[in-house]
Amino acid sequence: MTAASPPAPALPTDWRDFFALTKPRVMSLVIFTGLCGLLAAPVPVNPVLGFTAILCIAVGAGGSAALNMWWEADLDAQMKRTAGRPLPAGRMPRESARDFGLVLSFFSVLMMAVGVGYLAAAVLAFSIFYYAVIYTMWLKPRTPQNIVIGGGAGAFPPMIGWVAATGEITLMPILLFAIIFFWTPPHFWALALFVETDYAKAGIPMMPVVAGRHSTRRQILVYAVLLLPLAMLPFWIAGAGVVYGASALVLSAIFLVLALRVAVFRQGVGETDMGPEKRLFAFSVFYLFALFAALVADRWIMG
Amino acid sequence: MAKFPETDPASERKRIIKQRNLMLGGLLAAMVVLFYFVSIARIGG
Repeated sequence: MTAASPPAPALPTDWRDFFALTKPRVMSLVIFTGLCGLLAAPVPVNPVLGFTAILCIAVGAGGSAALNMWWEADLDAQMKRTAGRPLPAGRMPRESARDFGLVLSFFSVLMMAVGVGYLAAAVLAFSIFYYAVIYTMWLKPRTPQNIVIGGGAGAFPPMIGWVAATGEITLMPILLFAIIFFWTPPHFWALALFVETDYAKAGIPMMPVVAGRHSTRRQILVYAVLLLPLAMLPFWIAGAGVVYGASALVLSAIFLVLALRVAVFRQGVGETDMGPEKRLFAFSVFYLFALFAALVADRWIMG
Repeated sequence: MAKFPETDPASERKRIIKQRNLMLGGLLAAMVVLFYFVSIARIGG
């Protein structure tokens, strides 16, 4: 963050701009994975408490997203993809975004503690701190491994969902955390490869900017290789059944093939042709949705 | 080309604030309802 701020807006901030601060599209993935963690847990969950837990996860994610936008307003202004956000576009005073983020974060943790449980609230509080402070303020501008570290923030929701349902941290929620943690680098680096110039302009040390495209593609493959056995682990340790096991195998195999296409088999694809990267990115979103949906389906079909 | 009347800043300000108040009121009401049902669920569970 720098001292320079956009001019104060002439009109009061529209509620839609506050809503935009919560990154609703990211939140949909957070809600989905959190819900899957909750529904895949091997205990019955009171619907009201389950709804409250998901609401708290969503509000907490929204709060940390608002804090992220407050801190990165100057960087956002330099990138085409983010220049239209409420802060860089000058539609909102900077302090409003900060206060909004703090209030959402505080109430999400409070509501989780009072309504659901202290352990789930503690994990939620740590996830907000991890994303807003450790990732956004500290490591993202300093290391090209920022996406690997940032993956931790996105990996918390299913763990919180599981902990909200069971009240304890066991191997399964840690595995769900690990799956998203290892899924994130190939997902975001595929994106970073075809929006590379934007990140370079903003001075963010994204892997393709710092290490080059070749090294990034190789690392995408490494994570895709690691993801396959990791995604199979819930099945191997009998934490999930055959519906999940078969889905994880097929989905991870396709993911690996697409990663190989990005990293190794680029014959007939020019260096500037980002088709393989775009296909991997698109599939990676589907992969996560399908894998977690399979986990829930497995639990509800196989019992 | 059709000419559109310019929006009056004062009425625009009023509209935005009214919408914001409505949203905030709705959220607070939803919170009260949620806390009511959470209390019932906690006592029952």
